[in-house]
Amino acid sequence: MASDEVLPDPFLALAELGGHLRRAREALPPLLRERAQASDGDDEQGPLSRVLDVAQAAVASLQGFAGLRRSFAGGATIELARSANKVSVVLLGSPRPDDITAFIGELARRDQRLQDATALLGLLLGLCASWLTAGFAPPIVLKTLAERGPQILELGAALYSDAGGSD
Amino acid sequence: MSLKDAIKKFTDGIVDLSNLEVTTYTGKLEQLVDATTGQLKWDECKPSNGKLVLVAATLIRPNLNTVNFRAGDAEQSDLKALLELHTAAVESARNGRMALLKMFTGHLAPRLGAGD
Repeated sequence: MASDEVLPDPFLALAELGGHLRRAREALPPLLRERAQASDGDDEQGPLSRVLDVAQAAVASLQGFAGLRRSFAGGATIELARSANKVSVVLLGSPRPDDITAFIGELARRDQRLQDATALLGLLLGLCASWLTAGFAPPIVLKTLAERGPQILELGAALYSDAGGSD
Repeated sequence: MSLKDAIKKFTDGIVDLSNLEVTTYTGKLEQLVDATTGQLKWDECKPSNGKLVLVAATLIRPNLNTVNFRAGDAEQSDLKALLELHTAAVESARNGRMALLKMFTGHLAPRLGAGD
């Protein structure tokens, strides 16, 4: 890596993840076709596509963590919103204690998913940084994606295992 | 909210590692429901509009010292549940910041330590 390379700020690094993953997906087919012909049709594209699907879904999942809003019987509503270094909670109407307990439980589950998502995104940030450094050379993308694929799938499975009922 | 907006909101909290502020408000439904549509006017759910009452506030400083405020005269029959909700929001705010810090630490540490 060039020593004078400017480190991306967090926003840019994350915002560009989706684009890097798309670029990686586009870089692979010619190399995979070559390898499939050489190995008598052994198909690597399917598994690698699944890995990239999970990675792209993880980036999109961030949208779901910006806040949580729930309405209850009688119109009572609770909303939690995150913005930069502020978190605000607004309760409208009179939610019952049970409603509040349910909201707290859902918030805890959402936080766990955020932990899972950031673990996966942290891995992807490192992976994309190596692709950028290598100019998205297909052999490097293929090698690193194959190496990290099982870990990405595992983290993706954790992220979506308790995703039911969100939003 | 777009994905870009969501990412920006999250990462702003990392770029600015100053205080972390958590506030909990209550309000009356009739003050914030649109009489015509019956929908909540979420855009008006701002502390500054005078329609919301502060129940509790917590300020977490970068050194993790914490300042708490609890309203003594909150007009709620079940203040205990409200304070539990506020405590959960504080915990969620802390967890969110730690998750993001961990994510970016993992990303930057190897690069900062590369030394070439």
